[in-house]
Amino acid sequence: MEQTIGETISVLGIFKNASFTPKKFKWNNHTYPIENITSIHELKDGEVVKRRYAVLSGPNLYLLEYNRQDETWELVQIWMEG
Amino acid sequence: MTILHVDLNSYFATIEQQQNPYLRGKPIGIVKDIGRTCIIAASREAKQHGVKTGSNVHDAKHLCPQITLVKADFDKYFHYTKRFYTLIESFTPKVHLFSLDEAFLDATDCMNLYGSAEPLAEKIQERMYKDLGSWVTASIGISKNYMLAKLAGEYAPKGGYFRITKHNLDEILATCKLSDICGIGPRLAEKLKNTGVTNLLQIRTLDDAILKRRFGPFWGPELKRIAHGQDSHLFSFLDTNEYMKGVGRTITGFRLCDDEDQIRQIIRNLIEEATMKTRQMDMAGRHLSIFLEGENRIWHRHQTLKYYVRHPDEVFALLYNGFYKRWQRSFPIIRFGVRVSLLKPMSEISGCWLPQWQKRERIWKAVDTINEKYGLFSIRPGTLLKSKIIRPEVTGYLGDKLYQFRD
Ligand SMILES: [Mg+2]
Repeated sequence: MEQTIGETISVLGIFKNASFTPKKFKWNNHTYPIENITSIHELKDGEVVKRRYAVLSGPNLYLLEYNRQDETWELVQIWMEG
Repeated sequence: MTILHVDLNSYFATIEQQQNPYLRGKPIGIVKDIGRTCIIAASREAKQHGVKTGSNVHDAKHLCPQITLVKADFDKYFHYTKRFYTLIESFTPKVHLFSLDEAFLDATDCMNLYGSAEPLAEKIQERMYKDLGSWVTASIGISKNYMLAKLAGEYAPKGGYFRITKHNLDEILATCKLSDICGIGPRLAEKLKNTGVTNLLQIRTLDDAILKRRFGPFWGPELKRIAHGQDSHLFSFLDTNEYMKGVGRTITGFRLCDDEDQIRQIIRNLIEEATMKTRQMDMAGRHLSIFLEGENRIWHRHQTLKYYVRHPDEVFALLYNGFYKRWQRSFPIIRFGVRVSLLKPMSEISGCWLPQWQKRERIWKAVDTINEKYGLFSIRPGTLLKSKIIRPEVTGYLGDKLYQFRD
């Protein structure tokens, strides 16, 4: 089952060798550790480049989006098993 | 020559499974939108149930009730294709992206680096696992030319490779399906069957004149070459500059079209797209062509101009007002195609542009800017105001798409 969220979140991660690896994110006052990044891709929304990370935390898969222009993070979607 | 053909397995579906581990190992079908009836890609698990690209959702659910439908995310697929292309190009610069999920490598010059093609194939697989994801696999075909490398890929296991050599060539040509050969479509395969040809080796014994009479001046000699394991001419463009081929757009309707207004709209629509792509590539072309195909007839016209064009009004004036209107159409149309070719980068086109041309260029530049921001066809000609817009295609052969991956 998937659910569209579209809320701003904060993300903590490591910047190394010119690439950023998200390690945890905070949404609704709850911190979610990122156990695995399954996919990263970029897309262009008009002239804004956005980078999407699909990450596993606990039993769920979260789609995080980094807006390179505003330098903000958004939780786009959650997939729950079943 | 040593050619490798790398083909990502069940591309769109595999990328979705890579992103979402809960979809792995499960039958999934990609649809353009939830609620749409056509499956544009199926996972290998869905294929095992008989679901294919082009299956309709109703049939797919009948064949495989547990199938999960996933909405296509073309931005993601394009991004993965770019990474795939970068990965392949890191092994040799002689790379030809053939479609979103297929590339040829001419590895002839780097054999001393890798020893032979097999270790190279293994290295490519390793990199794919690392760079694209652990779920993403490819089949790699190896042989002495493009046609055989692509055919070899049909025999390669997922995540593995297969080589066609002079020792197994005859056996493979004798046993492969006719339609496994790139370029042999269902119509040609049918015609071959009706001629009594059930395997490619038989063609070696057929007389050239008979082949030519039966299959025409292109396919006659072509089939003979294929039967001897020589390269198909369909791949000859791989060694030329891609953009010289031009930018075209074809569309096949669901039913025969006999309506003049609709035909005009479709032609205009296709021209809008072809010229927009030409401008996007910052080029202009001086060869224009159009074809219209009926159930079993085809009409086509083309002309090479002395000057370069890249605006839809100019192209429409020639292809529609010039050619189409003069033709007494005698059959309904199922397939439409327009093409702008003999392209040249704007920077290489010298000569003075007329003031009218400059004016048009300014107008179309403005249209492009707006459409880039708000989506293609935000601004469109009156002809298309009331019609259903045909949008650029995203699957299948790349053609001009290739150009975008060059940056
Ligand atoms: Mg494929």
